[in-house]
Amino acid sequence: MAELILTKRMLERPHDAHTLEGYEASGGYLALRQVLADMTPEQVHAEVKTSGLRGRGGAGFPAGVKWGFVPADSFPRYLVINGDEGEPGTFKDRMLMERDPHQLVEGVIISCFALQAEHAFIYCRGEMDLAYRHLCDAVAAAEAAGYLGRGILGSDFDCRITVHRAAGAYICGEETALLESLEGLRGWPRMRPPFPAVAGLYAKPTVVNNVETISNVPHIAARGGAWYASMGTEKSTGTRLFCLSGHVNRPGNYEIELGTTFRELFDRWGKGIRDGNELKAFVPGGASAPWFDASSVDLPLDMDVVQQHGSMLGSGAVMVMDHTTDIVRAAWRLVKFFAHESCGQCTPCREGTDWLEEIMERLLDGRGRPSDIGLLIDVSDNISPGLTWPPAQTTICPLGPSATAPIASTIRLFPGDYERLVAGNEDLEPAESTGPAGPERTVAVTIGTKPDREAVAHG
Amino acid sequence: MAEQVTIQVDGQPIEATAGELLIAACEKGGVYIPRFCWHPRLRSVAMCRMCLVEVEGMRGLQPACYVPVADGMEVRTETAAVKKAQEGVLEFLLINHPLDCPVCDRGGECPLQDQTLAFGPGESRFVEEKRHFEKPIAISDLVLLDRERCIQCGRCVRAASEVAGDPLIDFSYRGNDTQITTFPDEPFKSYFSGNTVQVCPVGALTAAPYRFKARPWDVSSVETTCTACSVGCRGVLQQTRNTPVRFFGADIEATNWGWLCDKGRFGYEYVSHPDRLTRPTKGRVPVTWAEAIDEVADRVEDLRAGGGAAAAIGGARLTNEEAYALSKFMRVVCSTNDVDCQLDDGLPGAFVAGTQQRATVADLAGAAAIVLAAPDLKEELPVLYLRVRDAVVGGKVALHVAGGRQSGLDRFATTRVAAAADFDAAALPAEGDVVVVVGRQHLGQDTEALAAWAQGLVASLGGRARLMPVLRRANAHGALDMGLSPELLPGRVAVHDHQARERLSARWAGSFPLEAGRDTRAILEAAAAGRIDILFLVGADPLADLCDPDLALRGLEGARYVVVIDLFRTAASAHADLVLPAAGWGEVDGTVTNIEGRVQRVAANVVAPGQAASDAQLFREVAEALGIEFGCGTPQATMAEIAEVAPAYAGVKASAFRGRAGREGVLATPGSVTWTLVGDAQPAPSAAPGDGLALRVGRRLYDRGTLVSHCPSLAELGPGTVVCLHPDTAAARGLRDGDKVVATVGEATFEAAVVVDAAAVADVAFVPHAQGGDPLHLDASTTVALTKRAS
Ligand SMILES: Cc1cc2nc3c(=O)[nH]c(=O)nc-3n(C[C@H](O)[C@H](O)[C@H](O)COP(=O)(O)O)c2cc1C
Ligand code: SF4
Ligand code: SF4
Ligand code: SF4
Ligand code: FES
Repeated sequence: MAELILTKRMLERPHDAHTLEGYEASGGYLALRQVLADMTPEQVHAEVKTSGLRGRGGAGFPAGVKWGFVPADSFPRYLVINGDEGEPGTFKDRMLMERDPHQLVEGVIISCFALQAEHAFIYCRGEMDLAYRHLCDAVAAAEAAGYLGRGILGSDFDCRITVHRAAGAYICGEETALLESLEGLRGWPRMRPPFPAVAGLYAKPTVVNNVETISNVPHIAARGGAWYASMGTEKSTGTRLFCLSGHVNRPGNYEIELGTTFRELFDRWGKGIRDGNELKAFVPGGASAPWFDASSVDLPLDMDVVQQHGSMLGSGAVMVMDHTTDIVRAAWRLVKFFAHESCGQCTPCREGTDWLEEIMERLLDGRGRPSDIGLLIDVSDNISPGLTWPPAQTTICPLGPSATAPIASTIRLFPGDYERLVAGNEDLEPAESTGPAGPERTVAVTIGTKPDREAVAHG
Repeated sequence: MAEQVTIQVDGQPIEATAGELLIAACEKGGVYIPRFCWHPRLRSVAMCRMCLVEVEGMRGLQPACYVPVADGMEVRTETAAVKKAQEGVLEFLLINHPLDCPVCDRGGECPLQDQTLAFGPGESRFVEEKRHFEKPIAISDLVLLDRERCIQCGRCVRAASEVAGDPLIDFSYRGNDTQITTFPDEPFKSYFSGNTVQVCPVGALTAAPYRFKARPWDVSSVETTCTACSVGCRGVLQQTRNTPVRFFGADIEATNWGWLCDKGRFGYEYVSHPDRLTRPTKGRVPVTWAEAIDEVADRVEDLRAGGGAAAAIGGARLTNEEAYALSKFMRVVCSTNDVDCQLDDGLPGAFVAGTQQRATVADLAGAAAIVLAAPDLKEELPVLYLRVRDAVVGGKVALHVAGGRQSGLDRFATTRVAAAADFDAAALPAEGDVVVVVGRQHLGQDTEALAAWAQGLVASLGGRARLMPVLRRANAHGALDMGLSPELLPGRVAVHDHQARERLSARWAGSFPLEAGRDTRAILEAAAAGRIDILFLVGADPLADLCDPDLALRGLEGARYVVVIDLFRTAASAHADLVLPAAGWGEVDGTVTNIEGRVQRVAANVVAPGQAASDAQLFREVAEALGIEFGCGTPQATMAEIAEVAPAYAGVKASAFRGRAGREGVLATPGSVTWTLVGDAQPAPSAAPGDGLALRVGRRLYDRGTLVSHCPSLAELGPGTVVCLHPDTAAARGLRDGDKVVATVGEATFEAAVVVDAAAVADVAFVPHAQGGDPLHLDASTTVALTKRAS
């Protein structure tokens, strides 16, 4: 087991890790001093690239590569820290912001230096009051100590941080919705292109990174990318915070080296399944991730391996369900979440997630029809064509397809749980079959005239 | 010119312009990709997901309304995956749709119906309960919203915010509850609210005036030109049972891009108003047309024999063909140049007709700068406002505001000066075209000075300047071109132009003076002095519109014989000896000419009420009663005659209006008349002696004028009698918003409500014209005193 990186200080100094004194007393801001004294922005960027650090917000995109997308000659640029942490089951960014806010602030300053950005925004989830206050205090203290502001530590580098308190919509964690929200608009995800790195906040190049991602940066800057890359697996380097929840004996946040297996996470850190029960299913990476059953428990916590098996490590939220779990009800709860949080822009997501929720509800009420299982799959397929993972996205953002993940994966893994709910309900089927789902039906609709009415009515 | 590329769509090559959106390129190439949120005149948002297609090399399905074409792109629009996605989206849109098509205004012309038929699933799999909302709620005075029918495409939101600059409707809530809303304290007050109804792809937005009036398959439609102002927007007028029920915009590149203002859109209502004049009356007594014609003919005969004088005021409401007939009648039959289509409320006629480097609306977007020395375009020429706004909004075209009221365009202005004369041409970019838009900024303005200033500015800029003189009234530009001006003959030529007179003599059997005639004021002065024997008021009411109501009254009382030809009774018709019912817009065929000099067709779609007839008919019949061969028997014949005698209109032939290109109309060519300022420009007198405030009277889109007040949906939308003051000006006088004041202008007094408006000019009282109060005597130095009334 590798050392602790992100959580070391808060474990060692639980009472003052969040203060400037506590932070400095344990080596804080030395990395920044070192960077400003000895390194160029390009060198810092190169170390982050070498580290292999991948985004901890969900998509797992390599941070160094993302930074490289910023057009060379376009200023000003912004760094935006995603601290909206709304993915059900995820509670790690909150801990980082509450207990070690200077680690994030130092990461932001060093990252801004690398990106040659002079203004960063930390978008903090509205409900996290303590995190917000500790962040504000940390920014103020860093300003007072000369770590932020003009000519930082005698260099010619200027940087400031604005902490923004969000208003409580899950969708605002999606990076482009977050940017809209920061601009004071409705939190609606943007169409890409342009990508934020090219035209993001206020149409300027913007890098959006997760709290945990950037909290790693001071360590990488101080100790080198190669050191970081020596931990974890080849393409999932370093350690990661896993938010373990559900039917384990000891749920909590665990910083462990990537590449460890789920089994070890559950048994060694989670102290096993509760009441000695059997593991039935687990969600490997947040509410958006397709589920696994017990047969996947020996997979390593490696982003690529999990993806090859049809899911993702996502936000690092691992939710464990034992054999007593009502799988359909559990899946329904997540679908309900997505239906509630859909921003409503895209037709398939706005209408489809709600429809899925209602069908699931009917199933749980005992009013499900045998054909509903096929319908659930087909409606899911209309939101996320092919039901592949990662989704062949046909919506503006991945929320819509994410909503199908719990349903599609549980129908595949636990068909019996669904069939039991509809057994004996054949009489609820409509008198005439609604026919096979899917494109075959277009054959019946052969009215080939393409409408030109709109052209007439609208000139 | 943008690069031309070839793309493959379903295996067929399609030519396109690089960067153009795939959906548009495909449509031009004959492949219709279904869509809801995309509209060719609005920003792409790719929300509805109806237009998904496969693009080789791109993962998943791509929204064709968002992807720009690139050379060699391979697109598939009919694969199984595309069809499944289309069916899926349509099914999603329908699950919560109320399907109340039988009682929906859109039923029968609904893109949702049509596209469901063509691309949708055959049946519904949704057994859950649909979304419910209170059925329609009014979101403006004219527009209702049925949230159950809304498919959340956002077109209305974009039309209101991007096109009109009125971001007063938006989405609220999220997910399945997403709905269109207005803001709690701000009503959706927009002059362009009707455009949202037009772009709504379902029946979610309906227009109060049209609601439940007709079904699309029961109406007969013609494409015509709006004449509620002189922008010349094209649209489709629909009627059922001889009643106009709807007018909607046609997408014409040159002018309106499909948009209309609400006054134009809903202003058809007066056409079928029961108060329309339906038969000739003499005093209060109805007479037959034959009797009326005989009576006028007798009068004209006396005058021809005895050397009496006739004069005509008005004609800006007429078609070009009718205006030509009036012009010809006055010259040939009455031997006078005493004709004027302006009531001292426009610009010098020869200045307008003589414009050489005349700007088109399209020139606005291509210019480097626009100089605006004009009225508030939003109030007077609304769709021109949209086009100017579109040109300047992204900063591509610099805007310079030279005088006039503050308007919604000011925020885009690079410079703004209080009066045109203060404009510094050095502020203009060194290169590129400059369009100078010039029009009367308030009633009572000295427009000779304004015209001279514009002429000077254009001359100083040389070949890169274009001038757009703007008159507000329906066909004022066409009427001037037809010679309804004391100094003009048809074809933008001077009355004394020998060549022109020679050309006319082939068709005009009669002589008329070589000197310019009297303008409206001079006609009324002469009438007041008893020197006018017959005064024709053709769709004009000097009592309402002249800035000198006293003169108007003296003139009408002093004229020996007054003939009023109009749609409705007016203040002036009470003074008339003979009142004749005219046929108007929607009832006559012909052409009109817009602010650019673009000649466009107007088409009849209903039969005029009772015995109302085209104005041209009266003049022709009187001439013929006198044994004068007049011609002008049909609009077509008149159009041909105009093309023959008026070189500027040589290209205006029936054939020019055929086909697609013909929908854009024909630009008349420059004439030969020139205008120069006689004498010196009067320096604008600095106002406000004593405690009076400078008074500015200008137009608002909705007034209590004859036409608006006969449109029930619009009649109440005007501001009423108000005085608009800058906050500082109001505060200095202890006045607050809503206070009642008595305003004294010269000898007249009227009561008004104070409107405190940050956009008003300091130390100036702005009073909108014709809001129900009596007309005021106005000139550039008029002041007003305000006394607060105890409430
Ligand atoms: C619906 C939705 C919600 C998201 N919520 C969060 C969030 O709460 N926090 C976060 O860091 N990333 C969230 N993301 C991912 C962000 O869009 C983005 O990928 C991430 O912030 C980038 O940072 P990283 O590269 O450091 O991971 C969300 C994505 C989606 C589609
Ligand atoms: S997928 Fe859903 S949440 Fe994402 S933009 Fe579309 S409607 Fe909004
Ligand atoms: S009201 Fe009409 S235009 Fe507006 S969002 Fe709904 S469907 Fe679209
Ligand atoms: S701008 Fe003028 S021409 Fe256009 S619709 Fe309005 S009134 Fe009619
Ligand atoms: S038309 Fe393309 S997404 Fe709506």
